[in-house]
Amino acid sequence: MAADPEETRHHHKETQVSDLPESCLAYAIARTTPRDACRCAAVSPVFRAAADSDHVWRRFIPDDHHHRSVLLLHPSSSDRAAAKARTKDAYLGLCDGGGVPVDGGGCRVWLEKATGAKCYALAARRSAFPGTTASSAGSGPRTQAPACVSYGGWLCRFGEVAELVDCTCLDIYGRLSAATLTSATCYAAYLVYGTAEGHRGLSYPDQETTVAVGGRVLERHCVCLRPDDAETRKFKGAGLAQEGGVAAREEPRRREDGWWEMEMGRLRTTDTPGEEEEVVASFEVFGWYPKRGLMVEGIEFRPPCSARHGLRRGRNDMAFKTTMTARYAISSRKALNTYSSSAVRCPSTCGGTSCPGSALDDRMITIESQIIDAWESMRAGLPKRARKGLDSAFLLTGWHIWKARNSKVFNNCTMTAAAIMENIRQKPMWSAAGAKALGCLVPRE
Amino acid sequence: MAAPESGDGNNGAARMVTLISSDNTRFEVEAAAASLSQTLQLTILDGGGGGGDGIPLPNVDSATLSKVLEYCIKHAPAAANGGAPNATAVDRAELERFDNEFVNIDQSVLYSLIMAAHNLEIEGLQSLVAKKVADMIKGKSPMEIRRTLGFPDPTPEEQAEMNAHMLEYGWAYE
Repeated sequence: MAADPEETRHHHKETQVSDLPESCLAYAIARTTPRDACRCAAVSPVFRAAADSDHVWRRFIPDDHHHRSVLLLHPSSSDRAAAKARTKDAYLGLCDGGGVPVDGGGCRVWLEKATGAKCYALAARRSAFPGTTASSAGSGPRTQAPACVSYGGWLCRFGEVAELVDCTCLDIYGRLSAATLTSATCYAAYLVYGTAEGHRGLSYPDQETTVAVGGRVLERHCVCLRPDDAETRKFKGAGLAQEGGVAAREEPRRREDGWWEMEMGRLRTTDTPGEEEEVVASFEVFGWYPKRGLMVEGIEFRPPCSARHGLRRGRNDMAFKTTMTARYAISSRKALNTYSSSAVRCPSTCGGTSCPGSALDDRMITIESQIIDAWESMRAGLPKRARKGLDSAFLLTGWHIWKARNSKVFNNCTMTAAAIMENIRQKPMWSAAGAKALGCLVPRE
Repeated sequence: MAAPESGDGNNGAARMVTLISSDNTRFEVEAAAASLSQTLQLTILDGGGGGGDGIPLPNVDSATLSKVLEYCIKHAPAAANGGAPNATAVDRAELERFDNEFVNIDQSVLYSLIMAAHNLEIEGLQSLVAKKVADMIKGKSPMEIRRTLGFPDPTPEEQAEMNAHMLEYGWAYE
């Protein structure tokens, strides 16, 4: 039998890639990515047949999108083109056109072409907080200053855009269940925005974005929505910014649809699908100088445009490791006339010790209630003018702490508690800043 | 395992079946291992392949069949447990190590395995070899895929077609 010439011939015949039938190739190509499958179509005619097959593209369409791909394949029975449509076309249909509304039109979802990852856009929500008044572009007059514009998710992308008319503090966030994202994929959150004519207060880089999963902050970036050297200089001239303040680390990018976008941070979903944790992307502007003219279209979660610059990344991490300390949140629950709601966040430059970046969030201390209660009880017994003065004192004290924090974060210049106290006591400067009613509180010298 | 020219297969507790490769080599294996093949399963359930009969496999040569059976014998116990929730992490890791080692082979052997796994409908082996080919394809340009998989150099027409594809599907080449 070993001498059988038939057998010898079989042994030495080597199988070539060109021997593989289409179905075998399709089986393999279905295990790559949409990008690879698309490239495979250019390899050879058999590869093209395999790479364009329904078997391959069905695998790239997430389970919860199958019913929609059926609609794309058969929009109407009389449509002759649809009869010939392939699953590949249906897939491409799910990627294009800015996504389709889901959850009652609340949020838009589409697939990223190259990877097939599910992408989401959470649109601006009109009023998530009681008393919040973001105006809607194109519908009615602008309303009163929104203190906080928030995005609870699930609202139509194009029907409504939040415009910040006038406010002092700004904290925007978008939330999403991690389970809705494609597993084992790198995602970035983007703030999609524009600015109205006459915008102000958006040019100084005291803005921060964070991305957190299940309450753990994964990334924290310094950003600047409208980098503008001239305005930054004005801030410096007014003493609001320290000389030589650092530039924002993340640059805004103009989108094809005309909006701007700012990367808020990245996360990587785990390999196990169906994770219950919540992903939160937030944008915050520190300080309570007036801001206006920001128009927010929404917050997007999608795979990042490009690999991040390694150097920039490293610097970013280091800045926060070395300079961020515990944070205190002070906010006025009952709005004052001038400052409809102000959240002054300031890391404890006064006496706080630096802690490593990793422990940052464990040390976040909210002293909101005590401060506000103290503030309110003090106000209660005062005449109107003194009350105004007290309000100014509270806010200006917070401002000084915030300013010291800025110089620490951005200029690496640490002030002692005593130095900050000294600054706070400088009444003439306060008066210059417009704090008129202080006189009746501060003892005359 | 593979025992060419072996006699009857009913000794011991496990039922044995005989498979005959395209080059007339006889392989005797446990029915449980051979049943990983959907194609063979029905024949074996019907009582085929026992004794001196043997099941002829005209599409699979002996070198490939011995490789296929190596896989089947390794994976048969786990498959018998039905995906085994009681399988330990060590067992799974051992199988994974075996699989990685198993596909670390010449391309021509790999392609023969792909065809055999397909003909015999051995699901686990099918996805194992498909994954191997997928890894060879991922992140490469059409030209690199051709080189990696052992295609001959493209003709000018094929080259022009590749360029045209790149223009049409720019998003896939970013």
